[in-house]
Amino acid sequence: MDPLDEIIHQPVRLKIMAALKALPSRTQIEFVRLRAVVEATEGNLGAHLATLEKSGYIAIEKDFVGKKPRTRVALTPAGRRAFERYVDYLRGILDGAA
Amino acid sequence: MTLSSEQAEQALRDLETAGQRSGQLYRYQRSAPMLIVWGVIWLIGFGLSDFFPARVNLIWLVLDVVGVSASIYLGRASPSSTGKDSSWRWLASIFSILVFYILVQLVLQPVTEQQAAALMALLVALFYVLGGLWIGARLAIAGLVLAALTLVGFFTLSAHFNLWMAVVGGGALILAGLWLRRV
Repeated sequence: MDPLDEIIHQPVRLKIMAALKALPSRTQIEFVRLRAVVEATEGNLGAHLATLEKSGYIAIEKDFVGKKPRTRVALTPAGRRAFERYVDYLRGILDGAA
Repeated sequence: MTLSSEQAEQALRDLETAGQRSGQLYRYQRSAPMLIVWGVIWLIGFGLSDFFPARVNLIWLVLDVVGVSASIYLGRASPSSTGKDSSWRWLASIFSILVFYILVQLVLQPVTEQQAAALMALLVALFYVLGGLWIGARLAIAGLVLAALTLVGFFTLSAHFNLWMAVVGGGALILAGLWLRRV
């Protein structure tokens, strides 16, 4: 069994990854929408997104809509694979316990 | 680090909850433009129908073509959660509503113009209520509100039904679309 992915296995980061995985491939989600899903503060979410981006699991794009800054996040292929391995790991624990 | 089965179960529950919420907000976001487009079409269509009653069929023919074209475009521009083009679903839904609209009138004829208009609005409301059962409560609520407003207008404001549907019906669809876009 693969070792536990400590990057993903953190409550907020887990929710971020799950939220992104629920979207079609390469679909971006806006920061405000992601914050509503994971129920984190702005600073907290930003810090965890930075960790995931550094690991190559997500891609962050920043631009402007008029004068308003916008941040959008999408899962990378590597992130998708890592999340699937993480879910398999969790299920493996439950199958082993069963 | 190793996890207990309880921890693994909790993590799976958490990720499922987050995934469902994310998927629902995404489906709301995809549906929102459709409601806004058709809200504007109702605003124009029912409004013009009130001022030009003799041209009702032409007005709705033109506007329905615009609406269907917009629905196809929006369906293609925004993939479903499986990543597939969903424009055919919108087209099929619109076509189904139209077919049932015609069939019900055939069964219940003769039908007044006002009854026909109310029937279409109620069929659209039903579509949103049923869609809401799959997509989320907001869409179902939008459908129920639309149905209620249609009935209020039909039974209490028959002399101004078209104007009522233009402002209140069209306005309700637009507001519902804006509500769906909110997080």
